[in-house]
Amino acid sequence: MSLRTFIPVQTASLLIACAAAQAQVVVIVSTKNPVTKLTTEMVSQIFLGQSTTFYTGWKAEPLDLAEGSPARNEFYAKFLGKSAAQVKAHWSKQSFSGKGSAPAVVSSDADLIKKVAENPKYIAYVDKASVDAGVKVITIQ
Amino acid sequence: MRIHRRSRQAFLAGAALAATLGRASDGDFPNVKFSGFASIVGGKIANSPPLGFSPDPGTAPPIYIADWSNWGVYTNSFSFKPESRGGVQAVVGFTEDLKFTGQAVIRATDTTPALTWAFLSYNLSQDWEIQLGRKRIPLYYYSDFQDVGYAYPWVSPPPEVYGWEATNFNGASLRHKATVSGASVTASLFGGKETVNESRYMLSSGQSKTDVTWDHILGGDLEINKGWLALRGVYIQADPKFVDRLDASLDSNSKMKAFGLAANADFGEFFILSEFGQNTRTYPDGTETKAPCYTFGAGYRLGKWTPFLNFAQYREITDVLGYSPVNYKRGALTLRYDLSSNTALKVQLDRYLEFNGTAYTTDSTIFRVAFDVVF
Repeated sequence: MSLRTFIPVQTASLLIACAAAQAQVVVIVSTKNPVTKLTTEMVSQIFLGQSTTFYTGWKAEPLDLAEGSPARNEFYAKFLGKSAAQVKAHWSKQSFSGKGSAPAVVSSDADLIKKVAENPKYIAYVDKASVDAGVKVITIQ
Repeated sequence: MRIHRRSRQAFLAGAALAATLGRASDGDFPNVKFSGFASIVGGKIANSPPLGFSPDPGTAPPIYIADWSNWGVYTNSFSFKPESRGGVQAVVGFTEDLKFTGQAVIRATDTTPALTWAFLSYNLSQDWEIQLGRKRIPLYYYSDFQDVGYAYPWVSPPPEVYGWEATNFNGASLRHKATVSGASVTASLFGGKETVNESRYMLSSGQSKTDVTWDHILGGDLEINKGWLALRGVYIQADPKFVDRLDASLDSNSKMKAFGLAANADFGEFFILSEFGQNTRTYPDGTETKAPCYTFGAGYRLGKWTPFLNFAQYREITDVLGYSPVNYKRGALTLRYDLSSNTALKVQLDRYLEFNGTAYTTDSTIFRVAFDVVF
């Protein structure tokens, strides 16, 4: 018998409710990519164009979901501490000074996962429920 | 500012190259991305008594100089002319490593489109990039994108720091990116030349037909980003030369050395923007004018609202006989509202104080409204 069975029913349902209220956004890379862990700083630098490689030295290229999508807003708020407007302002600075352009946008979770699975250079975020074979969830420290 | 012949040739050469390579490439290349920005800014000086002397016949002093380079000046009459502007940009990717970036800006003060960017960039490796063509002079932190109102909290970058005769140059730059102890570091070296025919900056001296050249531009910068902290240092030297078409006695030559240090801290809701710089001009007779300047601001993001308080000063120290060094300070309160994910509204109140000024400026209060968009 596991300890889990001793959790009162009320507490268990509360935990599930909390999990449901927060979209579970996770960071993903291809299973072909050896990276398993990243710091929030590394994720932030890649998604803001300040770093173009993983710590392994492999090329890193971020992909975004569509502007306004809940997973995108949650990702930037949770991992970078930035609002959609702040991210837009950052990329206006970069793109209009010839220093780089915002990540390419993939409109659906399925297309995003397919693209990430095929190429180890991509890094993206997606609702945990959409994670599929070919990609793996990165542990963020 | 007019489009320079050389720049136009660079732009056409880039476009021709785009067409040629376009036929040769396959896959995702070549590709073209268009984007743009605009700011509609209106404002006026609130109730300052009239002054007699005007440096340029188009204005009724007192004036407030919001943009030195383009001579964007406010008077007692409300106007959208001094700072309203718009720009379009095209980035052509020929291969994963070779790109062309072109940007043209049009201003209410000068409706002839000015070419601000027209350069080819090539990634020599993952960390090294070379750029050739027309670029912004990366003098201070906001110089590269000072026309893009959406990208910053105030209506326009402080003219105390951002106000020089030349804003662009034709030349080359080399950029290196690295990660050092978890911090992202970007360093660049640049060099080139700029000629501004009938410089609008020189209207501040009452000279309407003066050509300004910044020859032998040479400089380097270093930017470090880690977490909440962004630091930037820059050094630049050039040989500014002024040639007046109407009065040769107004011609001047000097050697310029400038440096700048910027430190920005962003804690999510609370943020600080600060910058200090000094521009020194040494004249052939050995006399010198030093112009230290600073800006310091703090803001707080409350959802879509961002109130921002800023202080700035520009002053000159000189041993040039008969030259009266300028010294002024300004405090500003800006309120930004993010209308949507690509538009913002701003209102700004400036209090400008002069300790040693010009015959056409005086202590004044300036009110401005702005609408910024990026697309």
